[in-house]
Order: sequence, then C-alpha cells, then structure tokens
Amino acid sequence: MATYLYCLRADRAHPPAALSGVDGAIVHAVHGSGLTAWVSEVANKVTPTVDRVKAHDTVCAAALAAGETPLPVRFGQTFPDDASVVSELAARESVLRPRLARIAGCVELRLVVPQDSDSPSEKSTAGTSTLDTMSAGPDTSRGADGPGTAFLKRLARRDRADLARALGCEDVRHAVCSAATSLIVGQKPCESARGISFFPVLVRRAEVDAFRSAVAETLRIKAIPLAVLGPFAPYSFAGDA
Amino acid sequence: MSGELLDNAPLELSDLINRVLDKGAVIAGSVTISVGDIDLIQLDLTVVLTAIETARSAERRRRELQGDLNGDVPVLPSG
Amino acid sequence: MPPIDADDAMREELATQLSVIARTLPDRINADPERVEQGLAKLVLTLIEVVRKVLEHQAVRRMDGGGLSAEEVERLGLALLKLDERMQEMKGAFGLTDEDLQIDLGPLGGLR
Repeated sequence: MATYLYCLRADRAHPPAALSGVDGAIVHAVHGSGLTAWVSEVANKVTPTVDRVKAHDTVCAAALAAGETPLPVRFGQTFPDDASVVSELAARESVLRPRLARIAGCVELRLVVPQDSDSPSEKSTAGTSTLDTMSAGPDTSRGADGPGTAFLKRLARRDRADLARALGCEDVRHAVCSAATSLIVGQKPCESARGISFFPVLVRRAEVDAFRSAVAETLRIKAIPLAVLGPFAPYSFAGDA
Repeated sequence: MSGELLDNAPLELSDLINRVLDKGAVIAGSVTISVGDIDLIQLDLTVVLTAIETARSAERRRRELQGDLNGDVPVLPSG
Repeated sequence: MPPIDADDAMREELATQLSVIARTLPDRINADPERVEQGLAKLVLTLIEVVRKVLEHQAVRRMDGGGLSAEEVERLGLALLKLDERMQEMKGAFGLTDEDLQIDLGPLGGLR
C-alpha cells in the first residue's frame, strides 16, 4: 500500500467527511511544517485511467471549495506512507511556500477551442504558410531530400500542425486578454493536445464573473466558439513560472 | 460554463486530461523498479527535477550577467 | 508572468517526460522466466520511446531554428530514422505494440 497525494495547502482545512478519491479510498489530511496535504491510501502503482484522473480532479475541486486555494499536484504521485509525505513537506517547504503565495486567492480558468472548429482564428492561413516557408533550415530547392531530411520534415509537419493550431489560439488569447487585462493575474501561452487548443488564466476568485463577462462580449463580437472552463485549482500555475 | 458548442463533454474530457495529467506540481517522483519481489533500482525524479531548476536559475543568472540572449544548446552527436 | 524561453521549454518538457516515465513504468517486472523478458523489454522500450520523443522534438526545433547545414540535417534525420526503424523492429520482436507501451486512456490518451 502507498499514500497518494492530491494537493497541498497553507491552511489546515480538512477534506469533507466521506470524500472519496482514487479507487474509492477516503481522503484525509496530513500536516507538516505548517502545510497540509490531502492524501488517500492506494495500491502501490497508480496508472492513469479516466476514472482515476476524474477522481483526482474531484478531490482538488473539493480542496478548492474548502478554503484557501490549494496547490494541486500532478496525477500519479505516490509515497511509501503518510509519514514520507510529511517529511517531503518539510524538505520542500522553501519551494512550496512561494508557489502557494503566487496562487493565493486565485483560481484557474481555461479557454478552450476545439481543433476542428470553424472559428475565424482556425481559418487563419497566414500563420500556417509562414510556418511552411520557415521550414527546414537548409535550402533543399536544389534536389530531392535525403531520407534523413525527409524523416525530420515529416516530424516537423506533425509538430507544426499542432503549432498552427496553437497560433490560431494565440490570436484568440491576445484578443481575449486585451479585453480583460486588469482581471488577469497570470496566463500561459496556448498549447494543443488531444484535439483541443487551450490557454489557462489565473484570476482572483472574486473576479471570475467579471472576467467571464468581459470575455463573453469579445467572443460574441468575434463569433469565436471558445468555451471557458472552470474554475479549477491552478494546475497550470503550480510549477515554476 | 459558457460556450458556443452543443456538446462540451468530449472537450471537457480532453481538457481534464491535459490539465491533471500534464500540469500540476511535481512534488516527488520516486519509482522503484523491481524484478519479481526484489527491489533493484530507485529512480528519484526529485533529484533530477531539482537539478533542472538549479540549472535553469544558474542559466538565467549567467544570461543576466552577460547580456547573452541565446543559451548554449548542445549539439546532438552525429552518426 | 515572464515569457517561457526555448531552454525553459525544453526543461519543462523534460520534467513532463520524466513524470510520464514515472507513471508509465511497471514497478514490478515479472520474475517468471518465461515472461521476464517481455516485462524487461517493455520497461526498456518505454524508456527509450520517451527519450526518443524528446530527441525528435529537439531535432525538429534545431532544424527549424536554421542553425544546421543541409548535411547536418540529413545526418541528424538519418540517425533518428534508423532509431525509429530499430524501435519498430524491437517492438515487433517482443510482440509489443505502441499501445502496450502507452497509458491506457482510450482514444484520448497516449504519451503525447
């Protein structure tokens, strides 16, 4: 058996009674160095499944609702026992405190565009053609590519498809964030993965509705099919800036 | 949740996985690789991740001091 | 927040790939002699695949950066192409598919 870690917090809030996490185990709190971790007991290895990923997120959502904004940890981190979690808190306190301070009072919202949408930003071909002409450094106009070069170009095309989608998303990000500048505590660049392009923003809890309103107007005017998901515990702002 | 889409469910699932699997703090990673019941290797990710953070801070300080915008990217070996 | 530069992106990617390794590796290799080879093969191939994806990504980044000559691109590409072909052979030899080495999250999953 092992201890599974969901999140860390600077206050002493406990999980609600009977909150269950990965594989149905009850979530409890452990304390150390003035920090609190929400954990549960698991079998030794926790490989990702949809149910387990959902359970992890449910616990972090409960933690978000329970008091101060928690620092969510990435899926799948287990420790030999509760005591080793406590000693890890002690060992990493100087790293964890600034991270908790950075997200204090805030939540994460995620603006998501499906990759097969018909939004104007997706139709933007300017970015795509720029990428194509920006292709492999060497000039290959003189002859056919060797097999090595062809292989790298194939890999590059695959990467660039993602990048083009991300660039389309970047246009949206700049438009949206211009409309809501004063409400944005933090943001990250666009990424594309698993069929969607997205970017996260860090917003003060009390300003979530104001942010949604500001963004809704921009989206309506530009007819962008973008979904604003959240609020979530700030996964995207939990590591180093 | 706002959105212009009719069915957000697949989108939310993709987003959930992108968020929980790829983001979030990496506090400790320690993988023990065993053959049968015998523990053989402990792969301590915390040590490697700490080294990466240290290297990154040192790199930033170096650049600030030298005004150097491009880090030194190692060349992959040939052949 | 400050922009993320290329080296930070590389380190962030490495950190992500390491956590992929952590959750993908089997933590017990079967010691039954008839099956131990496949368990070890899966372990080794998973590690190689994760590192290989980082290498491929970095190679594309170098190529796009424009700092490599045509010969260097060809040499780099050939090395990675040979590695890719070798990996397909290895997987075939042990009867392992890409799905065996990846996280089972249905159509949405994968090592990314």
